[in-house]
Amino acid sequence: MTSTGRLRLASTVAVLATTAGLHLVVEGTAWFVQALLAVVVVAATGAAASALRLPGWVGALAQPLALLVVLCVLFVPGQAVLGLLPGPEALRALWVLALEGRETINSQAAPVVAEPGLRLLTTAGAGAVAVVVDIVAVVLRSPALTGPVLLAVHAVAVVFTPGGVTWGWFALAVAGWLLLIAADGGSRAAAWGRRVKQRPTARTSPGGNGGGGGAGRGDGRAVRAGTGAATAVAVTVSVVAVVAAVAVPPLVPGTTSVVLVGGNGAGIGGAAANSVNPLLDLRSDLESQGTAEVLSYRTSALTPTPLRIVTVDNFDGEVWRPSEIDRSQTRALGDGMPGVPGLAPDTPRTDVRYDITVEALRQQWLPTPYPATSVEIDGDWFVDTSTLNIRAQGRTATREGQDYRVVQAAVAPTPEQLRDAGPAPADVVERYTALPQGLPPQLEQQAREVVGSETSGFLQATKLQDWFRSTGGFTYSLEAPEPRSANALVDFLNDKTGYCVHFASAMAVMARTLGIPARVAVGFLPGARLGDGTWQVTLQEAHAWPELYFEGAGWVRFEPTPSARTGAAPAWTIAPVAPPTASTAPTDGASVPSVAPSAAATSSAAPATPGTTTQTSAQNAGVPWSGLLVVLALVLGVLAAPLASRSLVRRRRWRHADTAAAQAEAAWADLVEQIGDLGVSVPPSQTPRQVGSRLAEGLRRDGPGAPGAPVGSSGGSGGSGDSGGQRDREPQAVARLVGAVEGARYGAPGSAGGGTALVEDVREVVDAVVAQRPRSATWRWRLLPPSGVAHLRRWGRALLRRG
Amino acid sequence: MVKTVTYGSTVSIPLPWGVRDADGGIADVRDVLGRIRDAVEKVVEGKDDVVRTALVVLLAEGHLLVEDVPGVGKTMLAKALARATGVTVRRVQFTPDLLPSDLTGVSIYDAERRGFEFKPGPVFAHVVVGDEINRASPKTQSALLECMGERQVTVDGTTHTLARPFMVVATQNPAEMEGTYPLPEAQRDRFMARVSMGYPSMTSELAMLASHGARDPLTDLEPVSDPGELRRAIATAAAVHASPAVQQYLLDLVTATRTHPAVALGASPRASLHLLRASRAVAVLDGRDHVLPDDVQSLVVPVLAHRLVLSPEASAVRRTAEDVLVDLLQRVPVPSSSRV
Repeated sequence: MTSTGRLRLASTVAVLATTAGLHLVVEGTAWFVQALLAVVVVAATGAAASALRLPGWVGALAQPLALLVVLCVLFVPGQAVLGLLPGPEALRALWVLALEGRETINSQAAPVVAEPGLRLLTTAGAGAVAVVVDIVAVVLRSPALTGPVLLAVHAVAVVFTPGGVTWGWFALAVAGWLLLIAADGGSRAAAWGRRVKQRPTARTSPGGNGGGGGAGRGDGRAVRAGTGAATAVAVTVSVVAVVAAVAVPPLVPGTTSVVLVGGNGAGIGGAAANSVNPLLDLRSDLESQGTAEVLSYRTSALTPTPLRIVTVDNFDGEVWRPSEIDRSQTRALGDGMPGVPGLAPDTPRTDVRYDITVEALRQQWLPTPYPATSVEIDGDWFVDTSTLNIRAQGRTATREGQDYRVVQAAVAPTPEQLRDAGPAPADVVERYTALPQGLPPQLEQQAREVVGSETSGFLQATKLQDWFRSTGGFTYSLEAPEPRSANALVDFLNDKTGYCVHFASAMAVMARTLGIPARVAVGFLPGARLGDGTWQVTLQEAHAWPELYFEGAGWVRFEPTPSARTGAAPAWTIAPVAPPTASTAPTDGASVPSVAPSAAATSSAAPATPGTTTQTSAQNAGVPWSGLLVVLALVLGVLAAPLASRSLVRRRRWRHADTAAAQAEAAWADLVEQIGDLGVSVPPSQTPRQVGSRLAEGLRRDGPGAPGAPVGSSGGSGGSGDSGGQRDREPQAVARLVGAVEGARYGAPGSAGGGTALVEDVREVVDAVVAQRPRSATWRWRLLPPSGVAHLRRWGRALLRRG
Repeated sequence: MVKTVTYGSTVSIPLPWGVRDADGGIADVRDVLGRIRDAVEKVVEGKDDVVRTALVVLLAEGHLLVEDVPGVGKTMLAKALARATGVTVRRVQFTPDLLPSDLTGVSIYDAERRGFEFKPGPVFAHVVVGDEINRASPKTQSALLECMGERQVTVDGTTHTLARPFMVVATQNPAEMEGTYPLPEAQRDRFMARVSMGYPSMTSELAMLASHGARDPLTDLEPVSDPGELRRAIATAAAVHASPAVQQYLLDLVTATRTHPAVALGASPRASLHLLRASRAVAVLDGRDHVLPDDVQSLVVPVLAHRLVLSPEASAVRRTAEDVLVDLLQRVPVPSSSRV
């Protein structure tokens, strides 16, 4: 394999190794597969460009285009030209999707559900990093400089991961980077003599071409800096990165998954916004949630139903998450709400209006009472017809102050209807009775034991609910059950303590074991009614409950969470005991006064229950700005290291320069270092005089006006300056520097002329060179001096040797 | 093919700081040599570099080998140099039948005095011009070279010291030409430097036609110096400071020729000595009291090139010793401070 190929392969591995760390922040593996595809395509494009011997910039241009094609194919094949080319329509679609992804990031805490928008961002991000790394490492041949880029990617994981990143992921990222550097080191062959490497992008230095004389040969060469290197930079950057990985998480507010800053957005510039996380993790504790008001509404119902945000039906034994939305099963909200799934047309229903105002809530799922038959809201929303979940598209999300109007079909199925419900449709059964692999049999045994000989699905469900609420001896607690076994639900059944997520999960899973289609809904309890008739919902009301399916009545809400901790529960929450009708609450139970008792629905945890709120819930949304700032500072720190080391070395050099000769040497070293950083290379085989004559010539030629009068070698010392005036100032400074260093090195002992005035001369010359070079050629000198990198490298090597 | 020999020519770098360390003695020497150079250049036009090298060799008490095709002014250079310096000059045309005694002189029996009398040969001049030295038999060549090395001649048991300054300017036609005995390596080594005259430029040749067409320019050349002054100049040059760093650099360069893959026989220790002496002379010519690496670099080609024997492989691809030396100059680092 060629050295370029090896380097490219190593770059790919390094990017993937670093990207893999995002696994801690993003749910699932699908995103990684897509990111991997993007990274591989980018690398392959680069390799193809090299194989065709195209110039570096062509490859650098082709890679982003290839990435765009990958994004089109993966995310918006419908809009892309021929399914793969990015037309205007596809670009627009990608843009909308990207905005959606940004919303997702803003409104969820890690780990984030890998919805398409977010996956687009991770894929595009990984691809973009791959492009940058490829350019830096392969085209510019400076693999060490990819460190900060990769570190920045890793930093994303560091900042957003609750509790920080484990060492393994960090080690993986670093290993990838070291591999990249090693690949570069391996590709350099030892050369005879001292190696002065031709840089692919070398520019001709000012004094370079044409001047003739001895100086011309070395021009256009640049001593390669910053690469190869490995060890030292590795050590430096690694140290910084380790510090970052260890130190950042505790410093950054809002990085833990449950800290919620109700309303007073902690971050710098972070809007006060909250959201409920659609991921229900049975293993996490419920921590303080804040009391920020998230919604307020007016309704005609006396006892409103909870406002559902989203339903989750995909359970892996520990975490509930929403199923992927099947886009063919959706319709734009503007086209009206679809029919209520499973609800028989003849079921008596009442329309109930909700006028909802969003307070501090930022959510991509719209909180609505179930089942809604009409929703009026601004923005780009669509409905999943199978669940009636309403999802935002693009940059849409709920915003503070936004008003929307929902009409709910308050359904009141009779207990008889529910009891005698026929079998559910096959697709519903298949989707909603799926159980995770390896579910302990204990759950089903317990379910069977609870329902006894009852055969009606509905009556079985009411028995289960009763068991959780009262007869089973469960208590409410903010803490998740102790993880004693492999299964969180088993732990819950043993401990008999947990919060709403556990109750809802356990009931849903047990219902599934009995063959009843079940899912878990996430949303808000109705909240508290204020004096003016407005209902107020705070983060405390975040809640989860099971929904079970009965043919004819559709999805019916149950409430297994005990009301124990609620204190004095409102009278209507008392569960009816009537065996046949049970406490079942039809999803809607509420609104119709006559059904009020059956409003067992609401019997659920009292609205006031501070604890019943769902744990996973309200995550402080928003980007942890301060965390990003810390990371940014670290990255800048890494980038600033060469600059710092250069000036450190310079200072030390002058501090030790106590003789005239040493001062001359110091001044000369300063000069060589700085003009080297400016791209004027100084090959080791050039004498000070040659360097000086090149510099002076370049300065004179490019200075204002015609070339200064050639200064004859036979003039008296310094006597030729009279005609030069301003124009000859820099060449004379060069001459003084050359004279000083020559005296120091080669003159008779004691004849050296030093003096700190040489510092001024150096500055003058360097300024003149800077003024002459195009801006694009001076950025390294300003920001990332190769000489500084070289110093770091040397220190690192010394450190390693000592170790 | 045009080859630019970057470091080969003895350029003076046009920078204003060249004369910084001039002190009295050095300024005098510089003055004398400046006059000599001006005088010589009046005769040999457009060959500044060659004249300069010749002066360096004179100042360093070496011998000069001038190599080129016939008729480009090799002899003219030698004669002009001798006449300008006001020293004695003898010219010997080397031919295949030239005998060693034709150079050194012979003892002949003087009937009047009843004893042998030594008749000094042409080597007893300050400047000896050996024209077409490669036409002589090796035996005669080595006789001359012995004088060059020893600076004395032994005839019939008596040792005769040669004049000082003593400088042999030997001219040589390129080896390929008919009827020549190319100088062996060991003998080439005794010449401090070799220069090629090369054809004059068009303007120089025109000027030459105009000025020399009528009469011999040498007749107009007045001496501008004298042997005593020259001896003092030589002594001054020998005292120029060569720092350890420069000496190390010089040795690095010389030893590098011994390990270079394209070279079969590298430069000898005598070459190092010659290079150092010549470098001192260059420094003086520049008015400096110390040697710079630049001085060494400017002399590497003239002082070392004729001593190197390239490997057959390198010769096969027509690499020249000059190429090799230029290559070395780009590789061997100039001594710099080891401090950060």
